[in-house]
Amino acid sequence: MTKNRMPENRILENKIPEKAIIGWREWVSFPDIGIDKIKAKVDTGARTSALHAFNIEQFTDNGQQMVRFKIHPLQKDNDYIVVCEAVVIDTREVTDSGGHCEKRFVIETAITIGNETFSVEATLTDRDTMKFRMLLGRTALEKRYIVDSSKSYVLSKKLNR
Amino acid sequence: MLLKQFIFILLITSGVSGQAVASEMITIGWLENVRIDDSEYRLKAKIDTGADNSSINAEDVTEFSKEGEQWVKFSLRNAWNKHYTITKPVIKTTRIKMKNGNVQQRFVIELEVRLGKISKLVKVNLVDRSHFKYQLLIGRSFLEPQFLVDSSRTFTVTDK
Repeated sequence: MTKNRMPENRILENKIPEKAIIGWREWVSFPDIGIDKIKAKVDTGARTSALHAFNIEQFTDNGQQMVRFKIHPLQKDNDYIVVCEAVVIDTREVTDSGGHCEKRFVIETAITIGNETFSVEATLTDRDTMKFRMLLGRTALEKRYIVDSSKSYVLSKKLNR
Repeated sequence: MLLKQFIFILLITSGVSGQAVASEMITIGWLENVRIDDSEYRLKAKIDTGADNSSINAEDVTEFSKEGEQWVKFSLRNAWNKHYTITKPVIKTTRIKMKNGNVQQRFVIELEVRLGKISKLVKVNLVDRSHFKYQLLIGRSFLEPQFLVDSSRTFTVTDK
């Protein structure tokens, strides 16, 4: 009996990738660049993820393209600033929801959502009219999550407490 | 082929697509074809969990008064270059703050949007989306109780 069941289970697992439900807002963190709490808008309307940064400056470290930038991780606290450094993996033309095209640095860094940590690409933008300081786009979502737009903080309740 | 279609429809109607998620929720992609106002007119819609409300690319918008009420007439153009004219009462006029700080005035109308077997009356902002690829943007107020969005998929729903 058990012998027969084994392969069936394996086939089922291959066919149906397990994806977690994520709300349209989640608290996330970026452990490698020192951001331990930032509210992200989960946005299927955007391909790439974006971080709202300011004082963005490019520099070279041992021949590697780097970027130094500042972030206000908390929407209501502009006195709280985190200074971040990350490797630049690309510069990209990005069109925002207002139709404006902008050249942005792209960084790759680890993101933690709930119990999971994985690598994510994000563009840096200094548009300070962005209500959310972090947008989580389709590329970051597609392998792991399905969005329930009727819910918020599905994966990050513990972090929020 | 037929069997595949049958299984697909079965999955859609049972409210479960691909996996066991919350009951009676339908998983859709980030792009879907929808129909407007009971017609056969088709629009490609971007499903946007980052937007509160829905908005549509309206061309030749003309405002007029009918029996003391504010009405609006506008034209849609879809990806297949077909036009469709809509005349509706204006529900409200909203002021939207753009990312560049500018304030835009928008008419809001009510539109029946059909996605697969589900049809919903939804408030839609009339905007100039001519510089965007998709004419209709569907926000959370449409999605909220029934739909889950899988951003790795597109055009998952058929209405045949």
